[in-house]
Amino acid sequence: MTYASDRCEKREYPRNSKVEARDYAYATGRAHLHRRGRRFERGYAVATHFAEVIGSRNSTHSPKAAAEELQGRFDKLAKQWRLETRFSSSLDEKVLNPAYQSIIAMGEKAVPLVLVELDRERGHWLWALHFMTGVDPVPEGANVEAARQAWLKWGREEGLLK
Amino acid sequence: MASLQDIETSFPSLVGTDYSEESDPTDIYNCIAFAFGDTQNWWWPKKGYGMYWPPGFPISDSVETLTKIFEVHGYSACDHYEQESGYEKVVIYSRDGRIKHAARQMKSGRWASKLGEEQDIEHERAEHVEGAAYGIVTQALRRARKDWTNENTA
Repeated sequence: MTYASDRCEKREYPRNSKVEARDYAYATGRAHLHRRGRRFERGYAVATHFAEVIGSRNSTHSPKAAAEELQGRFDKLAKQWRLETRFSSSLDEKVLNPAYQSIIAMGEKAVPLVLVELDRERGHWLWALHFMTGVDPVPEGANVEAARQAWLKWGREEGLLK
Repeated sequence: MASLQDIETSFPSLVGTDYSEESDPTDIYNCIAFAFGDTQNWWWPKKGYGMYWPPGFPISDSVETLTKIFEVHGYSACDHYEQESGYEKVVIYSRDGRIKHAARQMKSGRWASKLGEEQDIEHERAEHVEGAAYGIVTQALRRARKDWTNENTA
Protein backbone atom coordinates (compact mmCIF):
# COMPACT_ATOMS: atom_id res chain seq x y z
CA MET A 1 0.00 0.00 0.00
CA THR A 2 1.27 3.44 -0.81
CA TYR A 3 0.23 6.65 0.87
CA ALA A 4 -0.18 10.01 -0.73
CA SER A 5 2.76 11.30 1.23
CA ASP A 6 5.03 8.60 -0.29
CA ARG A 7 4.38 9.91 -3.76
CA CYS A 8 5.11 13.52 -2.87
CA GLU A 9 8.39 15.05 -3.76
CA LYS A 10 9.87 17.70 -1.61
CA ARG A 11 10.05 20.82 -3.69
CA GLU A 12 12.32 23.75 -3.23
CA TYR A 13 10.56 27.07 -3.56
CA PRO A 14 12.51 30.24 -4.21
CA ARG A 15 12.88 32.16 -1.02
CA ASN A 16 14.85 35.13 -2.08
CA SER A 17 13.30 37.85 0.00
CA LYS A 18 12.71 38.41 3.68
CA VAL A 19 8.99 38.76 3.14
CA GLU A 20 8.69 35.46 1.26
CA ALA A 21 10.83 33.65 3.81
CA ARG A 22 8.66 34.94 6.62
CA ASP A 23 5.48 33.99 4.77
CA TYR A 24 6.79 30.52 3.95
CA ALA A 25 7.86 29.88 7.50
CA TYR A 26 4.55 31.06 8.88
CA ALA A 27 2.44 29.02 6.47
CA THR A 28 4.42 25.80 6.90
CA GLY A 29 4.53 26.33 10.63
CA ARG A 30 0.77 26.61 10.78
CA ALA A 31 0.35 23.57 8.57
CA HIS A 32 2.75 21.44 10.66
CA LEU A 33 0.99 22.51 13.82
CA HIS A 34 -2.14 20.80 12.60
CA ARG A 35 -0.35 17.81 11.09
CA ARG A 36 1.17 17.10 14.46
CA GLY A 37 -2.35 16.90 15.76
CA ARG A 38 -3.16 14.39 13.00
CA ARG A 39 -5.55 16.86 11.41
CA PHE A 40 -4.18 16.60 7.91
CA GLU A 41 -7.18 18.04 6.11
CA ARG A 42 -7.31 21.02 8.39
CA GLY A 43 -3.57 21.52 7.99
CA TYR A 44 -3.91 21.51 4.22
CA ALA A 45 -6.75 23.98 4.38
CA VAL A 46 -4.71 26.31 6.57
CA ALA A 47 -1.72 26.12 4.22
CA THR A 48 -3.98 26.82 1.23
CA HIS A 49 -5.54 29.77 3.00
CA PHE A 50 -2.18 31.34 3.77
CA ALA A 51 -0.97 30.70 0.23
CA GLU A 52 -3.98 32.63 -1.05
CA VAL A 53 -3.44 35.47 1.42
CA ILE A 54 0.21 35.71 0.46
CA GLY A 55 -0.66 35.52 -3.21
CA SER A 56 -3.17 38.34 -2.95
CA ARG A 57 -0.71 40.47 -0.97
CA ASN A 58 2.03 40.02 -3.54
CA SER A 59 -0.22 40.60 -6.55
CA THR A 60 0.11 43.70 -8.68
CA HIS A 61 -3.61 44.57 -8.31
CA SER A 62 -3.65 48.36 -8.17
CA PRO A 63 -6.37 50.43 -6.47
CA LYS A 64 -7.40 51.68 -9.92
CA ALA A 65 -7.79 48.12 -11.21
CA ALA A 66 -9.79 47.20 -8.11
CA ALA A 67 -12.10 50.21 -8.64
CA GLU A 68 -12.61 49.25 -12.28
CA GLU A 69 -13.40 45.68 -11.27
CA LEU A 70 -15.95 46.93 -8.71
CA GLN A 71 -17.55 49.23 -11.29
CA GLY A 72 -17.71 46.43 -13.85
CA ARG A 73 -19.33 44.06 -11.38
CA PHE A 74 -21.82 46.73 -10.30
CA ASP A 75 -22.75 47.64 -13.89
CA LYS A 76 -23.37 44.01 -14.76
CA LEU A 77 -25.58 43.42 -11.71
CA ALA A 78 -27.49 46.71 -12.13
CA LYS A 79 -28.23 45.87 -15.78
CA GLN A 80 -29.38 42.38 -14.82
CA TRP A 81 -31.62 43.82 -12.10
CA ARG A 82 -33.25 46.29 -14.47
CA LEU A 83 -33.88 43.65 -17.10
CA GLU A 84 -35.39 41.24 -14.61
CA THR A 85 -37.60 43.67 -12.67
CA ARG A 86 -38.44 46.59 -14.93
CA PHE A 87 -42.02 45.49 -15.61
CA SER A 88 -42.74 44.85 -11.93
CA SER A 89 -44.72 47.15 -9.66
CA SER A 90 -43.77 45.13 -6.62
CA LEU A 91 -41.10 46.68 -4.40
CA ASP A 92 -40.68 43.25 -2.81
CA GLU A 93 -39.83 41.65 -6.16
CA LYS A 94 -37.39 44.43 -6.93
CA VAL A 95 -35.46 44.32 -3.66
CA LEU A 96 -35.47 40.53 -3.31
CA ASN A 97 -34.05 40.07 -6.80
CA PRO A 98 -30.70 38.20 -6.53
CA ALA A 99 -28.78 40.84 -8.52
CA TYR A 100 -30.11 43.61 -6.24
CA GLN A 101 -29.19 41.59 -3.16
CA SER A 102 -25.68 41.07 -4.57
CA ILE A 103 -25.31 44.83 -4.92
CA ILE A 104 -26.38 45.33 -1.30
CA ALA A 105 -23.79 42.70 -0.31
CA MET A 106 -21.05 44.78 -2.00
CA GLY A 107 -21.39 47.06 1.02
CA GLU A 108 -20.23 50.60 1.68
CA LYS A 109 -17.63 50.66 -1.08
CA ALA A 110 -20.41 50.42 -3.68
CA VAL A 111 -22.54 53.25 -2.21
CA PRO A 112 -21.04 55.93 -4.52
CA LEU A 113 -21.84 53.71 -7.52
CA VAL A 114 -25.47 53.32 -6.41
CA LEU A 115 -25.78 57.07 -5.90
CA VAL A 116 -24.46 57.78 -9.41
CA GLU A 117 -26.90 55.19 -10.81
CA LEU A 118 -29.76 56.81 -8.88
CA ASP A 119 -28.75 60.23 -10.18
CA ARG A 120 -28.32 59.25 -13.83
CA GLU A 121 -30.60 56.29 -14.43
CA ARG A 122 -33.08 56.64 -11.56
CA GLY A 123 -34.71 53.45 -10.24
CA HIS A 124 -35.68 52.00 -6.88
CA TRP A 125 -32.29 52.14 -5.15
CA LEU A 126 -33.59 53.63 -1.89
CA TRP A 127 -33.95 50.27 -0.15
CA ALA A 128 -30.38 49.28 -1.10
CA LEU A 129 -28.94 52.60 0.04
CA HIS A 130 -30.70 52.30 3.38
CA PHE A 131 -29.26 48.84 4.04
CA MET A 132 -25.79 49.65 2.67
CA THR A 133 -25.36 52.81 4.74
CA GLY A 134 -27.51 52.23 7.82
CA VAL A 135 -29.04 55.69 7.48
CA ASP A 136 -32.32 56.95 6.06
CA PRO A 137 -32.41 60.63 5.08
CA VAL A 138 -35.90 60.36 3.53
CA PRO A 139 -38.59 62.41 5.29
CA GLU A 140 -41.73 60.53 6.26
CA GLY A 141 -44.39 60.52 3.58
CA ALA A 142 -41.99 61.42 0.77
CA ASN A 143 -42.88 60.10 -2.68
CA VAL A 144 -40.36 58.44 -5.00
CA GLU A 145 -39.02 61.69 -6.41
CA ALA A 146 -38.72 63.43 -3.02
CA ALA A 147 -37.00 60.35 -1.58
CA ARG A 148 -34.60 60.24 -4.51
CA GLN A 149 -33.71 63.91 -4.04
CA ALA A 150 -33.16 63.35 -0.30
CA TRP A 151 -30.65 60.57 -1.03
CA LEU A 152 -28.83 62.59 -3.69
CA LYS A 153 -28.55 65.53 -1.27
CA TRP A 154 -27.21 63.17 1.41
CA GLY A 155 -24.68 61.75 -1.05
CA ARG A 156 -23.38 65.20 -1.96
CA GLU A 157 -23.15 66.26 1.69
CA GLU A 158 -21.20 63.09 2.50
CA GLY A 159 -18.85 63.70 -0.44
CA LEU A 160 -19.93 60.48 -2.13
CA LEU A 161 -21.55 62.14 -5.15
CA LYS A 162 -20.34 65.08 -7.26
CA MET B 1 -36.98 52.30 -22.45
CA ALA B 2 -38.44 48.91 -23.22
CA SER B 3 -38.72 48.20 -26.94
CA LEU B 4 -41.81 46.58 -28.42
CA GLN B 5 -39.80 43.38 -28.69
CA ASP B 6 -38.99 43.56 -24.94
CA ILE B 7 -42.66 44.12 -24.14
CA GLU B 8 -43.81 41.25 -26.33
CA THR B 9 -41.19 38.93 -24.86
CA SER B 10 -42.58 39.56 -21.38
CA PHE B 11 -46.23 39.70 -22.50
CA PRO B 12 -46.51 37.25 -25.42
CA SER B 13 -50.30 37.57 -25.58
CA LEU B 14 -49.83 41.09 -26.95
CA VAL B 15 -48.17 39.74 -30.10
CA GLY B 16 -50.36 40.39 -33.11
CA THR B 17 -52.85 42.53 -31.18
CA ASP B 18 -53.58 46.23 -31.46
CA TYR B 19 -51.71 47.78 -28.55
CA SER B 20 -49.91 51.11 -28.29
CA GLU B 21 -47.36 52.91 -26.12
CA GLU B 22 -48.84 55.96 -24.44
CA SER B 23 -46.05 57.45 -22.31
CA ASP B 24 -42.34 57.55 -21.60
CA PRO B 25 -40.94 55.25 -18.90
CA THR B 26 -41.09 56.60 -15.35
CA ASP B 27 -40.47 55.31 -11.84
CA ILE B 28 -42.68 58.00 -10.29
CA TYR B 29 -45.89 55.95 -10.41
CA ASN B 30 -46.82 52.33 -10.96
CA CYS B 31 -49.75 50.33 -12.30
CA ILE B 32 -51.80 50.49 -9.11
CA ALA B 33 -51.46 54.27 -8.85
CA PHE B 34 -52.31 54.51 -12.55
CA ALA B 35 -55.46 52.43 -12.07
CA PHE B 36 -56.57 55.03 -9.49
CA GLY B 37 -55.61 57.89 -11.83
CA ASP B 38 -52.62 58.92 -9.69
CA THR B 39 -49.43 59.75 -11.62
CA GLN B 40 -47.47 61.16 -8.66
CA ASN B 41 -47.02 58.15 -6.38
CA TRP B 42 -45.78 54.57 -6.45
CA TRP B 43 -48.44 52.59 -4.59
CA TRP B 44 -47.08 49.60 -2.72
CA PRO B 45 -47.74 48.25 0.80
CA LYS B 46 -44.43 49.29 2.34
CA LYS B 47 -43.54 52.07 4.74
CA GLY B 48 -40.88 54.47 3.54
CA TYR B 49 -38.62 54.17 0.45
CA GLY B 50 -40.88 56.62 -1.41
CA MET B 51 -43.80 54.19 -1.35
CA TYR B 52 -47.42 55.27 -0.88
CA TRP B 53 -50.15 53.15 0.63
CA PRO B 54 -53.52 54.57 1.67
CA PRO B 55 -53.65 55.12 5.43
CA GLY B 56 -55.93 52.85 7.41
CA PHE B 57 -55.43 49.77 5.22
CA PRO B 58 -53.34 46.72 6.11
CA ILE B 59 -49.74 46.73 4.86
CA SER B 60 -50.50 43.71 2.74
CA ASP B 61 -50.19 42.83 -0.95
CA SER B 62 -53.23 40.58 -0.84
CA VAL B 63 -55.98 40.87 -3.45
CA GLU B 64 -58.49 41.39 -0.62
CA THR B 65 -56.71 44.50 0.65
CA LEU B 66 -56.48 46.12 -2.78
CA THR B 67 -60.11 45.25 -3.45
CA LYS B 68 -61.11 47.10 -0.26
CA ILE B 69 -59.15 50.16 -1.38
CA PHE B 70 -60.96 50.16 -4.72
CA GLU B 71 -64.27 49.82 -2.88
CA VAL B 72 -63.51 52.96 -0.87
CA HIS B 73 -63.07 54.71 -4.21
CA GLY B 74 -66.59 53.76 -5.27
CA TYR B 75 -65.95 50.46 -7.03
CA SER B 76 -67.76 47.24 -6.28
CA ALA B 77 -66.82 43.72 -7.27
CA CYS B 78 -68.35 42.34 -10.45
CA ASP B 79 -68.21 38.96 -12.11
CA HIS B 80 -66.67 39.86 -15.48
CA TYR B 81 -64.52 42.50 -17.10
CA GLU B 82 -66.29 42.91 -20.41
CA GLN B 83 -67.34 46.48 -21.17
CA GLU B 84 -70.70 47.59 -19.74
CA SER B 85 -72.55 50.73 -20.68
CA GLY B 86 -72.20 53.47 -18.08
CA TYR B 87 -69.50 51.74 -16.04
CA GLU B 88 -65.75 52.02 -15.73
CA LYS B 89 -63.91 48.92 -14.68
CA VAL B 90 -60.62 47.96 -13.12
CA VAL B 91 -59.01 44.54 -12.84
CA ILE B 92 -56.49 43.13 -10.38
CA TYR B 93 -53.92 40.60 -11.56
CA SER B 94 -52.37 38.27 -9.04
CA ARG B 95 -50.23 35.21 -8.55
CA ASP B 96 -50.50 33.02 -5.45
CA GLY B 97 -52.90 35.54 -3.93
CA ARG B 98 -50.33 38.40 -4.17
CA ILE B 99 -51.13 41.42 -6.31
CA LYS B 100 -48.92 41.83 -9.37
CA HIS B 101 -50.70 44.34 -11.55
CA ALA B 102 -53.82 46.45 -12.02
CA ALA B 103 -55.37 47.93 -15.16
CA ARG B 104 -58.31 50.20 -15.87
CA GLN B 105 -60.76 50.18 -18.73
CA MET B 106 -61.10 53.29 -20.83
CA LYS B 107 -64.27 54.70 -22.30
CA SER B 108 -63.39 53.08 -25.62
CA GLY B 109 -63.40 49.66 -23.99
CA ARG B 110 -59.62 49.32 -24.31
CA TRP B 111 -57.42 48.84 -21.24
CA ALA B 112 -54.69 51.10 -19.84
CA SER B 113 -51.73 49.53 -18.08
CA LYS B 114 -48.57 51.00 -16.60
CA LEU B 115 -45.80 48.42 -17.03
CA GLY B 116 -43.71 48.67 -13.85
CA GLU B 117 -41.02 51.33 -14.37
CA GLU B 118 -41.57 51.29 -18.10
CA GLN B 119 -44.19 53.02 -20.24
CA ASP B 120 -48.00 53.06 -20.14
CA ILE B 121 -49.68 51.03 -22.83
CA GLU B 122 -53.22 50.64 -24.12
CA HIS B 123 -54.27 47.12 -24.99
CA GLU B 124 -57.40 45.57 -26.45
CA ARG B 125 -58.25 43.06 -23.77
CA ALA B 126 -57.42 42.67 -20.09
CA GLU B 127 -56.05 39.17 -20.56
CA HIS B 128 -53.41 40.36 -23.04
CA VAL B 129 -51.00 41.18 -20.19
CA GLU B 130 -51.66 37.99 -18.27
CA GLY B 131 -48.72 35.60 -17.97
CA ALA B 132 -45.62 34.85 -15.95
CA ALA B 133 -45.02 38.48 -15.00
CA TYR B 134 -48.47 39.49 -13.77
CA GLY B 135 -50.31 36.25 -13.23
CA ILE B 136 -53.99 36.28 -14.17
CA VAL B 137 -56.99 38.54 -13.62
CA THR B 138 -58.49 37.47 -10.31
CA GLN B 139 -60.76 40.38 -9.47
CA ALA B 140 -62.86 42.76 -11.56
CA LEU B 141 -64.57 45.83 -10.12
CA ARG B 142 -66.80 48.51 -11.58
CA ARG B 143 -68.28 51.91 -10.75
CA ALA B 144 -70.60 54.30 -12.54
CA ARG B 145 -68.73 56.32 -15.11
CA LYS B 146 -69.34 60.01 -14.43
CA ASP B 147 -68.37 61.08 -17.93
CA TRP B 148 -70.65 58.56 -19.66
CA THR B 149 -73.16 59.97 -22.19
CA ASN B 150 -75.54 58.36 -24.62
CA GLU B 151 -73.04 59.13 -27.40
CA ASN B 152 -70.83 56.39 -25.95
CA THR B 153 -73.40 53.76 -26.70
CA ALA B 154 -73.89 54.86 -30.31
